Amino acid sequence: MSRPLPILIAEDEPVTRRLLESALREMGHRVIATSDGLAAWEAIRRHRARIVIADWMMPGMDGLELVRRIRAMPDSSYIYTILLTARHEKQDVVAGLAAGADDYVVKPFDRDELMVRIRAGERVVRLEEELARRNEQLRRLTLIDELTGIGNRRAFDESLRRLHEHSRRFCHPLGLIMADIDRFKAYNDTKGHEAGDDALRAVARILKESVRTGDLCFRYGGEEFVCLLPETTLDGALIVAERLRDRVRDAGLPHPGNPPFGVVTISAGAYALEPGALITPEELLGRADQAMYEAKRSGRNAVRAWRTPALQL
Amino acid sequence: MPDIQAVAPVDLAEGLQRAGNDRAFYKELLEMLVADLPRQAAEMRTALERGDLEALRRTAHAVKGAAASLAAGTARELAFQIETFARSGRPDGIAPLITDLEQEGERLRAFAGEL
Repeated sequence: MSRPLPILIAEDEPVTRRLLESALREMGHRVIATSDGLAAWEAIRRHRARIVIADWMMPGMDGLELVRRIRAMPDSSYIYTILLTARHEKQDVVAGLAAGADDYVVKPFDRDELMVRIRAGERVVRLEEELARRNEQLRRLTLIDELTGIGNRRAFDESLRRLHEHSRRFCHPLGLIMADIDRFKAYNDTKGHEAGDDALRAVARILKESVRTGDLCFRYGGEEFVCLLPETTLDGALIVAERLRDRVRDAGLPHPGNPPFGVVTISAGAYALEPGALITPEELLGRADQAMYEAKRSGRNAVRAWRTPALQL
Repeated sequence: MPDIQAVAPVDLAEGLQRAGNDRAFYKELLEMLVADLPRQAAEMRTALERGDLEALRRTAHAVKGAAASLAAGTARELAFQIETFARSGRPDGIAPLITDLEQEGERLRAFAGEL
């Protein structure tokens, strides 16, 4: 028997309720018994019930309404619902299933039949759990850069959108650093692609270890990296960028094709959304990118900020 | 309607099966049903006097459910008749049925005592 599931019973008639409880306990499940629809509705959410067995006729809220509410719950795991009814007229069965019930059991119920129907529900619930787990796994995979293990371009786009929106709304600053490995093509050409991959991994690790808690690093593509710095103005972003540049150079990875430094270095551009400013995520990224090219032009292994051009009156 | 004294108050084999073949559990549930019956009968009489057929029907429905679950055939049948009369708005025949149901409760009490 696998892990027990929390199963909720909503039944106002005590003998039937006790019979249901005893059958479910025998199956090894965790049973929450309630005697009316409203109490059931509360308990379903509190105990995160995965299977619900509800009597059709109950005081407060009937089983049909309970099923409708369960189906309208946002963001919940699938809850398998079984309606218990003394009726077996076709239109009632149809109404119950149309309201979203997965199954129905006619009272007085047969114990063995109830158990196999519960088992069918268990299969659905466990399948849904497995599916949700794998979806989460896949979602994570789609956000991670396979080579370096840090966030990828897609993760960056998501984070930038989210943080930009948040910062704009609450008038907080948001810093952004664009960093590019200097003369990486020459590195690959002389040392081979495997060494190139090692260098990318090393730089990713240095960036990740050199930013502050709460800062985020991503591989933007090729030999380009980008860092998002929440609650950080341009001055703050420049301090972080200088530290990144220092740490990469100090790691001393030999790179003869990168004179006069002789080691792997980065050029970085910084920009920040200042509190209250009206710039888009694209502008934020584009300006840091322009500043990064400025750093390249200045001789590499350098940091530059994008500065607002003087106002033309 | 057959002479109710001649028929056993429960189908014991079926009742036990419904309770997972746990004799002590079945006895406990039957005693629960028996203990609730006098109160339910009083409720149904009060509802009948007030002309509240909906309340009467609900109580009869609950008795029917419990009796059916325990394979107490006669009690189930009596409760079902009360429910049917109440639902179709015919209170006339109900009072004697409530008395029959109470008597059946006493038979069930004696039966449960010997389990």
